[in-house]
Amino acid sequence: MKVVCVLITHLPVKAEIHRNPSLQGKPILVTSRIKGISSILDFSSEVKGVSVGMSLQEALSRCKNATFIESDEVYYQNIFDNFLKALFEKSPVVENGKLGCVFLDMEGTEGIYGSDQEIIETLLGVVPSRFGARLGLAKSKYPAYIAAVTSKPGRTILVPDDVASFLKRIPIDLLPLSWEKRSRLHDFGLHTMGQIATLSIGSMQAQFGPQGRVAWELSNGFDNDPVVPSKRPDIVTDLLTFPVPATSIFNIFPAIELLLSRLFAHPSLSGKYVQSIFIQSNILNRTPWSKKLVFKNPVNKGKSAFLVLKNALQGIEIAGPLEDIRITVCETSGETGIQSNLLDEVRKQEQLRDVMHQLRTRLRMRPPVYKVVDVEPWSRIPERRQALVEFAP
Amino acid sequence: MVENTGKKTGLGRIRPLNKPELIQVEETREHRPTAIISRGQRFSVISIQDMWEIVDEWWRPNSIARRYYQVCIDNETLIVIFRDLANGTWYKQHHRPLLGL
Repeated sequence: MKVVCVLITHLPVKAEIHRNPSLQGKPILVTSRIKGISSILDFSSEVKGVSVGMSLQEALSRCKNATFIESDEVYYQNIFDNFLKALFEKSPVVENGKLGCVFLDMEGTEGIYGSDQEIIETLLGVVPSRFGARLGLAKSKYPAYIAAVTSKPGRTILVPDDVASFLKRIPIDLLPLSWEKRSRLHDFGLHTMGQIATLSIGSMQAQFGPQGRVAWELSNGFDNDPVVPSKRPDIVTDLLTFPVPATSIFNIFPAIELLLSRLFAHPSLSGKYVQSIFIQSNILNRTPWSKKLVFKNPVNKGKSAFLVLKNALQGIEIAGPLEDIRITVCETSGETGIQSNLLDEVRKQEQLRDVMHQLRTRLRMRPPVYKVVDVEPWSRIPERRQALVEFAP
Repeated sequence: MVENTGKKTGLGRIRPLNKPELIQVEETREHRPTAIISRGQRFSVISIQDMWEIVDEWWRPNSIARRYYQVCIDNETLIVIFRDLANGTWYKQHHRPLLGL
């Protein structure tokens, strides 16, 4: 197997600089908000003493001059998907790892590219140089990843056949272990993979369980994890520039409707249902606005998508006049992609029960809601056939 | 022994559906409807579209004997009325079940 790992480190920061080039060379902190708590998602090389996951307050105290940017994960993913789409053109087997990391199985592509050097140049050419992609080429995934991590931006490291010796000096912090397990390894005085490789597999497994076994195998260069082909991202995008910047969200509805009708007429969306779309707009003298919308039920018509979008965007306030609008179809599914409820009847009953409960609370009495039931449906006397009974779901 | 809770049984919660609604009808000597007075409004019968009789529960003291008419009234709607053959009163009633059919 010939595996190439394409790694774009600090993708959020690079994406923000790509969007706003004036940030180049400045200390940047990208923050993400989870359950109301802001923490550091990524930081630029100019920032010192800050780590990923650190609370915003702590980062602020350590780096007062930094520019704080709230994360736009949809935008980062969109940029990454574009790289991914281009990489799918280079290899038949592409595995989408975490954000910024891709594995490609290049086995058998020598006939197309010739030498490894050609492969590397081709893959480096896919990602713009400002994103500083790092490449690692090995016979399996993990060494390829380590090679990419340890290489420099725009460079490649080829892992030699003796993988264990290549990994000898690599810190154990790069092993796929939990934080507790890594801390314990450090406590034992095991700081590099070379040190783990010298131990017996039994002792590692006895101390650290299954993760210990994995750590020992990886440190010795044993990695049988295959490159699992990912689904090729379906990216269909369209842009409309306003002749005069639009000042209200209601002014952009006709533009959205037009874009959606154009997008859904795109040949690559033929016979497919759209699961989510991404709307992006440049705002005059402000940070661009973006929003991702996931459809509860996938849609295959522009009109249906527009109705959902219109409802979703009703209450949104835009920071300034919109210069343009871009809609990107992020995820698609086949024609059978409409999600149906497994326990449809049960769910309906639960919803009805909730509604009845709310009505009862509001009216302070038993709600006058009845259900028609058959009593003697065969009767010749009309009033005997059916009756109303109190509705109790 | 189970104590009587005093709670009404389920039957008390059943409400009749499609009960006949008492109306006044102007009729011929042969008891054919010519006009209907319902809820204070008078409607002339333009035509009788259908007619049928129901005789049931003849073994009970209050047996059922009705003659139904499907009539077209002057606002061009079709309604079903019947004459109670036991006492000669007229009623309006939907003949078909309200839902399902």
